[in-house]
Amino acid sequence: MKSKLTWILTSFMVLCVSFSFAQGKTISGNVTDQEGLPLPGVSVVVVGTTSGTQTDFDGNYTIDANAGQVLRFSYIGQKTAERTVGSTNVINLQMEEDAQALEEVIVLGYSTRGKNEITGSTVQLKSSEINDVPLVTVDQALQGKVAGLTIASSSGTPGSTQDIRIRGVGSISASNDPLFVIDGVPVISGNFSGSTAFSSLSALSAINNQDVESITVLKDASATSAYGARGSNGVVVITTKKGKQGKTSFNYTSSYGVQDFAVDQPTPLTAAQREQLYYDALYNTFGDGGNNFTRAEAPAEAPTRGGWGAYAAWIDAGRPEGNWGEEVKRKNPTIVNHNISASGGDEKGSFYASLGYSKTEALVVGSDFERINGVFNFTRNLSDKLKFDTNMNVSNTRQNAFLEQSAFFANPFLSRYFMPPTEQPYNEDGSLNTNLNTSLFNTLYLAENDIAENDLTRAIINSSLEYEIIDRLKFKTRFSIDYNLSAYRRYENRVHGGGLADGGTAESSINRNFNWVTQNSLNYTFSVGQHNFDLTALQEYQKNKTNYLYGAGENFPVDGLTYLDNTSANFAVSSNFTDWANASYLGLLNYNFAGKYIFDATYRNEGSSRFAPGLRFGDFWSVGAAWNVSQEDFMSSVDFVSQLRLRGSYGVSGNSGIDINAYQALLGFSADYDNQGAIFPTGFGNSLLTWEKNANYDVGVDFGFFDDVVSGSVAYFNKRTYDLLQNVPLSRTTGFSEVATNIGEIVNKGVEVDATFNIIRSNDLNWSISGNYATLDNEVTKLALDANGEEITITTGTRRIEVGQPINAWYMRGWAGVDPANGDPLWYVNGTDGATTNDYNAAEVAYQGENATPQYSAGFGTHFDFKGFSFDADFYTAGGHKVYEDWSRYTKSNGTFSTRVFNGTSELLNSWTTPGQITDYPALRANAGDGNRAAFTSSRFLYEGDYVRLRNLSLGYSLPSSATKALGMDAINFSVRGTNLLTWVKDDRLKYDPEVRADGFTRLTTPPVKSFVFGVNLKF
Amino acid sequence: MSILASATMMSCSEDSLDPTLAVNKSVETSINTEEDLQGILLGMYNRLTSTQYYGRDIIIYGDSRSDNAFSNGNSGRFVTVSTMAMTETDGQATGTWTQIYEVIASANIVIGAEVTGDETTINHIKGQAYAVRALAHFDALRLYGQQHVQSGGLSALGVPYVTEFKGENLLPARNTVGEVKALMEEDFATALSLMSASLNDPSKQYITTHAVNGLWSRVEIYFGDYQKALTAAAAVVNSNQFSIVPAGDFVASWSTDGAVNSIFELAVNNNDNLGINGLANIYRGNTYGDIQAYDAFANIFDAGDIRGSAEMIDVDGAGNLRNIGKYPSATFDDNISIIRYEEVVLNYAEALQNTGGNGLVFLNSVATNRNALPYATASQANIMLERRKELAFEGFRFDDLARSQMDIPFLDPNQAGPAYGSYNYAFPIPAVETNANSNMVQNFGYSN
Repeated sequence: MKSKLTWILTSFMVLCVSFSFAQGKTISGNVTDQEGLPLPGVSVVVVGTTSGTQTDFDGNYTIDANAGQVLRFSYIGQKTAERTVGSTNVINLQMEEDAQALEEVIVLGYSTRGKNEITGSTVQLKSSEINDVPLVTVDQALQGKVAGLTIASSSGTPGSTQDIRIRGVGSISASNDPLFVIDGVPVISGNFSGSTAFSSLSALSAINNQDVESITVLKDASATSAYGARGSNGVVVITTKKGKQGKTSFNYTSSYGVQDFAVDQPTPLTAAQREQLYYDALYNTFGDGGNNFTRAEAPAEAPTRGGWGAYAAWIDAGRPEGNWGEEVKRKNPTIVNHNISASGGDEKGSFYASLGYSKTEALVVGSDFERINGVFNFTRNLSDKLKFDTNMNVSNTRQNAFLEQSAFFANPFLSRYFMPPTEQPYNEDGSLNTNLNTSLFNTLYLAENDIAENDLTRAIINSSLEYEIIDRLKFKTRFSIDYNLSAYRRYENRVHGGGLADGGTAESSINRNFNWVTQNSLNYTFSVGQHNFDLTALQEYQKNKTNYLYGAGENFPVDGLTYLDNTSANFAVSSNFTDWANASYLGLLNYNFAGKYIFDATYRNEGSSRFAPGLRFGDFWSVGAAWNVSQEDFMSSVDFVSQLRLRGSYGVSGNSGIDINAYQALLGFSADYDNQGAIFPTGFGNSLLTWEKNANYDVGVDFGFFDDVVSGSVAYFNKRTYDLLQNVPLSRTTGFSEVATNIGEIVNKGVEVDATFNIIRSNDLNWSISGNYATLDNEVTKLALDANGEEITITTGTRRIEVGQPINAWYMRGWAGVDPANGDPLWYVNGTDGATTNDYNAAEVAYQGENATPQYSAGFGTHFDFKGFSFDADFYTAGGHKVYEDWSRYTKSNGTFSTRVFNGTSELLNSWTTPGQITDYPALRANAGDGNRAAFTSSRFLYEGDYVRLRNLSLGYSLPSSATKALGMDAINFSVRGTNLLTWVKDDRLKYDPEVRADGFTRLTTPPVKSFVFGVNLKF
Repeated sequence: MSILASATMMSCSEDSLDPTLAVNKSVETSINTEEDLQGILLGMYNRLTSTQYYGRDIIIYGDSRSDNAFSNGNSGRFVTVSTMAMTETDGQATGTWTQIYEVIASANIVIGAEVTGDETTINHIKGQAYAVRALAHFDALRLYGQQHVQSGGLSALGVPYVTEFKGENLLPARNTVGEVKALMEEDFATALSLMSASLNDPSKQYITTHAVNGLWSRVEIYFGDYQKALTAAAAVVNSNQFSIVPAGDFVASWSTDGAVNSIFELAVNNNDNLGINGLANIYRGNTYGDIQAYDAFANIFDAGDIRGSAEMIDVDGAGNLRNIGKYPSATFDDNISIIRYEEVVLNYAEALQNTGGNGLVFLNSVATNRNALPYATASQANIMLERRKELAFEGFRFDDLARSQMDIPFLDPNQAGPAYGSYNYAFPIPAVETNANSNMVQNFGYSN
């Protein structure tokens, strides 16, 4: 009460004072930034009065003041300065950059807060950490930068979706992907490829890195519960660049680079090697220890056995080597980026506009990615009280995709590992060979003659009006449209490959996804003495609808036509419509006392159409508190502590990431029989289906010592996901495989540390080391019980979900090596140790330790700059998880798959041949049954996943300002950047790239790439 | 601004969250008429045509586990089936189990539905569902039942016989083989009692009263219950609705829908077919082509036997013997034969022979219509040989070997097969089933 009175008194006094000294003189001057450039929009006020102005376009101002009064100059990002009016009428000022202030505003999506006002765990990346990452989708910039966030590309094909996991895996059947928010609005972030068999195309590939100002990752409940039902997997908040007041400045960046596989990948056998291994196999299987024939006689024996045809033809041709592994690789694929942006503004408003072009070739023949995008962000003060802003981003991305998501015959990576090297890619005249002695296709031919194109046009328009009803009470309304028009076109030629049997095939689809969001909010900030309040009430409605149209046809009359128009048989068309909606009410309270004690609370009530009527709305909330210890008076004497705060939060957020209409028992009508429409049940249905919930607590300490020479934070979190949206397996005798239910519980907990050590800080020389480290402990604590009270585990051929284990723990037979006496494969009878057997079915299935989620992940790096030179190196590491080599059943088969039907990898050269030989590769066999069995699923192909990767190595040089001025430029920068240059893998059996998808399987997709990119940046 | 705000406020009720059902309908409210019921019945037939069931797999199971054919692994398909090396997570064992019970679920919706319409028509529809329910359980039983493992027999574990859609017991235990047999017989009998011969569809793409009898005879033959087999087969033979395709028409009959010998076949056409995932492509396709006949298979035919001619079996470019004649169309649109008259005639011959009658005339009526030499006696061995010749590549051979208590001669050209009674005479119960259903018992020799 006392302080409120003071405030009124002051105001009254000011009025008096103003009256008393109304007669003064006019002060004018010019304000510049630290580089000497004019700074428009700087607020200039006479301290203690209501009198104030702003600098104009050229940084000039005039204001009336009296001698002895103080002028206060303030501007975002600059240190506030004060000058006392003296005898002179001119006061010029060069402002100083306030680096700390720039970093301290954290964008939380619905709100922004000073770093010291936050109670939860968030990490914010600046534009400099995002803009130059030479990868196509913007989320790829997050790797290694955020403790507790792991990211894996679904493929190295440019434009592919990313698997992002924040603080582990909490859901069994619902999505584990975080929510993406761009400029305050939840957006679509999924896959827009026309077919799941082909390369994926991330909706985020429509966003250009260069247009992004910051990315904030929200990890704990106090930050994510504002997103209610969709916040439980974490939230990634992307903020695009806005105009800055001042003279219009232009920024041009261009980069060019080349790429290669980040790791070498497995080596396929050469034809000569494979031939010799086949003789080994024949001898092992039929030689009977030399009684029937000796190993030396095996080549003569081979033609008498089945399946010799392809070898015979190859020998007749003079044993040519078909080097498919190299042929399907594109030679020196390039990355090209161009971006130009303009930014400027005055006291009334500002704008940012950009135009970008990007083209990235994939590492495989025939695939590439191209994007053109434009951004226009505009703010305008329509009046003193009314502010308008709009953010527009329109882009077109085009991806030449290929069949990479499984072992498709048309997948070039299948050719690499599976194609018998006895088959030749080219004919003797240099043309592509389509007459292969195998069912696999010549993917080089398909790369030239088939088409698979994803074309996504995305337009995001996000506008808001903000009205200041009374002082500090603002009403804001926002409307956002996110339209994704995704066109897919496929053509298979009629000469070779999948289209051969049908005379060529064509298909096209159009997916129109329209998403709109409206938000209305009231925000009121007020202070009572040192009690500061910030209150927000917000209402949001989101609607998403998808229209899908598909057509297909077959049989082209001639080559060279690729559209549906020219097909003549087996037409198929389909179309459908789906929609979903969310409605929410949100309240946010942020309170602090003198900046020392922070308390915040969030409440969100949200309804989703994905759930049963009556159960659609859920309540989500959080509370958080923080204590800025270093701001206490008693700390003022503790000089070495520059920053110390304790924080904690607890709350509940939700997850609704399941298929639409899962709560309904539905009939499908999409089948037919005998040319009549047929009806079939499509889902078991669960009329009690509702939210998955997530109770999350988080405690942490932020610290800075010796004027922040050492700074960082340590946090502990415990995230309990309960009422899991789980597709509980049903007995298949019901006619269904599963039913969506709310049951089960998973706990993720861990410690996250990040730290920065500024070893040298000076004007010309800076050197720092920084890093982050996170641990993760994941455990399933509850699952559904069946009618007999028995737990329903979810088991696949390789993994199991069971109480007491990490989610999807590896569960398979235990490999016990090779019997030195006879080369037989051995498995542990009990699954893990002790007695062994050579009968696969006699070995028990058991847990083989760990799951696919890293138990630790870390990023660490160093920054060094000296005058205009800068050097950065960033490492990323993850481990404590295991990776399964998929398709090893074929490529590491010791039976006919590797040496006769397809091909194997070079490790097979270590196969057992001699009694007493110690090796991990069993004797090769020339029959399908025994031989292929050794490569059945077992821990033989389960590898430790630990790896360290030099994620980024970059060297930059900025021309001195004297030189740039002479060239008429504001700044000129050159950089060379290497991505994924070095990789160390702990388990030397893991030849595929260790960065595998979140499910832990290696794939026949494009592996992650390493690249060298040269860039130039001009500011003028 | 005010327009935006009010529009938004208006749309935030619970109703605004009702999703649109554009291409589906709710189960609870959508099965009301005879027409709806017919739609569900068509859905049941459609499920029979899936790759995992009669579209391909169950037919391949019968021949690739026998001395007729094997998987050469050309596309990696059917290798574990052919070498009888399945494990509990085998994709084939899982897929077919799931598909069969989906067919049963569709049949049970039809059987349990109460709809309005003409009672005779409704009964004819329901009768078809009863017959298909019996057929599907029979197919599950012959793949997963323990009748031919260890001592086996009727008291061994069969498969759960499911008679309700979303019924009380969602965790059914396995019925014994004998129980399954009795329940199938009951369903066949019910089917006959509900169906009207006058409503039999002439296209042969639907179950008719003759198809019920024909399938019933197949089931009884499998169990060696010859008296019942005789009754069922006699009903078909005496109906005079069908005839054995003469030798001259035999090849063409395979690309003819609704041929004179056809009793029940699944509708496949040029807009609704399985393409490369169907039978034609697995037997001889240039992309898959995994199922290859043993070279010795060509030697079982008499000279002049149309079934051994190059129109029916022939060597491909790589020197591999192939089934050429059955499921022949390169456009993948041949109907799939489920039961044809020649099988019923052979069932009848066998039943006669084993119930004190003489089946020789019937046995030879098949052989002579193929330009083969007539048999001197209708011995069990001769009947089995004739079945092998006539029904090759149609999925019968493994069951004929098994019910004759014979060993499996080969797994592939380089390996001998298991002895009768071995664990791998049955597929494993899929792990997805044993995990979800604590009342489910795994088959001997497999792990959970």
